[in-house]
Amino acid sequence: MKRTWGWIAAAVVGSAGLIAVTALPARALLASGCGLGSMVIEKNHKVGQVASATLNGSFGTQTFGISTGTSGCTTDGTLMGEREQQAFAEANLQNLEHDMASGGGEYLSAFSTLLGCDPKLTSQVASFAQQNYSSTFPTENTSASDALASFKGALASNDTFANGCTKL
Amino acid sequence: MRTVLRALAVVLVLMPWLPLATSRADSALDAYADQLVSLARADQLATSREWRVLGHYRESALGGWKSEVDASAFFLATEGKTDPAAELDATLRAFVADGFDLDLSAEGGGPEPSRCRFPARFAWLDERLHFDPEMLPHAPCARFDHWRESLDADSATMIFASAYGNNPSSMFGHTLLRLNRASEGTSADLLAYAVNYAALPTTENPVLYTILGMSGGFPGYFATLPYYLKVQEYADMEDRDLWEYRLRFDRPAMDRMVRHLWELGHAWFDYYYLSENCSYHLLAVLEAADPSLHLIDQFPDWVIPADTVRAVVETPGLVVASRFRPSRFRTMVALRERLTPAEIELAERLADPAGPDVASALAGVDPIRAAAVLDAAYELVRYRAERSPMTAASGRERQLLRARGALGVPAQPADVPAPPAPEIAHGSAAVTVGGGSGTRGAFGDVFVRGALHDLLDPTDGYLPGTQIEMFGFELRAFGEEAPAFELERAFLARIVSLAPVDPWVVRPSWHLTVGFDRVRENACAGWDCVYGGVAGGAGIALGWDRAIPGFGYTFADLDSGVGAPFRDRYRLSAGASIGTVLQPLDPLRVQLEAGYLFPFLGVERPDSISDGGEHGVDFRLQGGAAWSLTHDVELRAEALRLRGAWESSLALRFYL
Repeated sequence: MKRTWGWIAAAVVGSAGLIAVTALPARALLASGCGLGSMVIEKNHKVGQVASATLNGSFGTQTFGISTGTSGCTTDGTLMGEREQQAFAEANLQNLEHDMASGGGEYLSAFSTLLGCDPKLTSQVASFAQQNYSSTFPTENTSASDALASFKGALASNDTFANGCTKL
Repeated sequence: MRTVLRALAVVLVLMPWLPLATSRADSALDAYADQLVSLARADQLATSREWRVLGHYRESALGGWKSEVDASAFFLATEGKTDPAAELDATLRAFVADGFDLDLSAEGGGPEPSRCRFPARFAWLDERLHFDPEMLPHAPCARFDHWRESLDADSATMIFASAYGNNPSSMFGHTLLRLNRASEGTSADLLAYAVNYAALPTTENPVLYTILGMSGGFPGYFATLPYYLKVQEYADMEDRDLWEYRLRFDRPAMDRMVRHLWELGHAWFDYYYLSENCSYHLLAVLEAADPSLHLIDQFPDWVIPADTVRAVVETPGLVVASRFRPSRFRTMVALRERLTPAEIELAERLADPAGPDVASALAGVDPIRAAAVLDAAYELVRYRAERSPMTAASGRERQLLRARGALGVPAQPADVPAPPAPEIAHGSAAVTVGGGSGTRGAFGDVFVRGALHDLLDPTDGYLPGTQIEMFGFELRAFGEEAPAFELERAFLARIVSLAPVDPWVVRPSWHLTVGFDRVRENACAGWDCVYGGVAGGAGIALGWDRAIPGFGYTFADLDSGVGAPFRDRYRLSAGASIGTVLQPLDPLRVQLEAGYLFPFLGVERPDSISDGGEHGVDFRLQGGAAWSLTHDVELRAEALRLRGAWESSLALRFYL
């Protein structure tokens, strides 16, 4: 019954030319690191109104399928502990950067947690991040890995954070 | 010599008995398996609610049970998909057969033992049958345990992604689940894992993509991925608001859910966009956590994600709290609202990649205000960068952030007001019953619409200025004529997207209708007046909030028709239309529209044109008013004036 409904709908939709045809979202290939930075799909907003909305062509279904085994930074769909920081920095680079420049925000707080910092230090981490923004992101092309490394280095050379953050 | 011969004799005598000794251990296991199977039969476990939920069995049309899972790896019995009892027996036997096997699957050392592949089944059957730990031990499952620990699921939240501008079909929404960890706070939420069901398309061809997606041509899989990836996809890239509903699931319920999710890791379902979609299978996961919930039963046919949110919210006690997470677009607008007109202009200049040097443009501006301007400018650049690779490459964002960092002003997050929640939206299906009068006399009218929302329906919970109607037909009966009912119109889709012009976001508005209509001039009656076609248009819209909130729009239109009323069986027209949608009072919405279509290819048959000329010229003037009587009932008045026909009607619309 479902299949019949589906076929009827599909035949009518397909033949009615409801779809505005332009490029389908390009799925980027895994690059270096965890490849999550390059997983940002370029969605063309004119793609088939009916088609794209909720087929949810899976941002990540292949990488994060449950029990898919180990690949890149994931095991069976969850991030490997030691890669969590890298994955987060890559996937959320813009938001994290924004929070650092602004001296606060939920991405920076989440990042602080990933660095193993005591929750009481969160606002200090935020101000520290703001003060160090220019050295964390020195050029237009600073990558997630570079920023991650220099920020962690800066934290480690500060006594408060060296003691308060366990995963530097 | 004699000792050797004696030893040989003993061995020869014992030898036939040795296989028997090991098979006695086997037969002890077989006997135990038989015992479990009969116990299960005696307790009728195969017909229990819990077993049906774990197997995703639904009653099939022919009276039996059929599982919705389409992957054969999900079943241990060959006929497992259609025989829950056989599946249960096979599950018990498999558990006993490899009960002592170690789980070496993580290191690639062989397949998972069945107790590890199906931890939910194991836990439930153990609870009901009390496995003997000597025959069926609770041996560890390394791979499942590691996964479970990574998830660290303490509670669950249902997430609903609502509609975004200029994409009317996004009003159907999308749902996913988030597995919250024990720690509180929105930053902890970002780090939690989300559970998402989605199709894995095997083609990039847009036509095939649509057809296969609707008819079960793609497999659908469950994935667990960091929630921050989903926030980025929906709130950032797609400008969708996220509504988060925290569910009342205690630790045992979460254990059941997580175990079953692992089982689903080996499964896939044929993906049907209209029915077995993301929201449908998510409900199945909720039922696995708490089998006393009956959510799927409420959706026997098609499933609209927004409807599943309503079903969950309306289940007593299931939702304990809700939270609104605004889209990036909404945040940008809120940041702009904080600025004075001069500051808005400054922000626009700063957002321009070819604009002034940031530091000098902000010289002399109070740091707190400068921070507010930079916040808004940054959002604007990001918004544009998502849509324009050139802007993205300019690096302007980082220049703005450098200035922001240098200011040293702490974060000033925008206060974004939440729009009406999706659960208060009117029902997705509607039946309208009424009557009226026109050129052909008095008539009674019935209009049935599968989904979803038009410009006169109550806006709460929907995107203002956006209409998407799918699968509708209207029948009309005229008092003094036969046949009894006539097809007035039918459509596959009627879509209108009014995107009000915004200084920071300029998008075209558009409309599209695919379906059947009839020629109304000359009191045309019968099937000969019906034609099918596609009509559409593009244009602009303005929106306003003050005085009487509403929209004004104008379109350039194209109309195509194929059918009996046309001399050459086709007609192509072009023209324009102008209209307005207003909300003068809270329960009252009014729409007025005027249009003109000039047929430039193909004409109506001479006997159906009222003015006797070669080319029919179609003026159209129509109006409608809708008054919400209750949440589920609306009163509608409509009037239509064409060159050669007129009608007006009054009706009651019931939302289902």
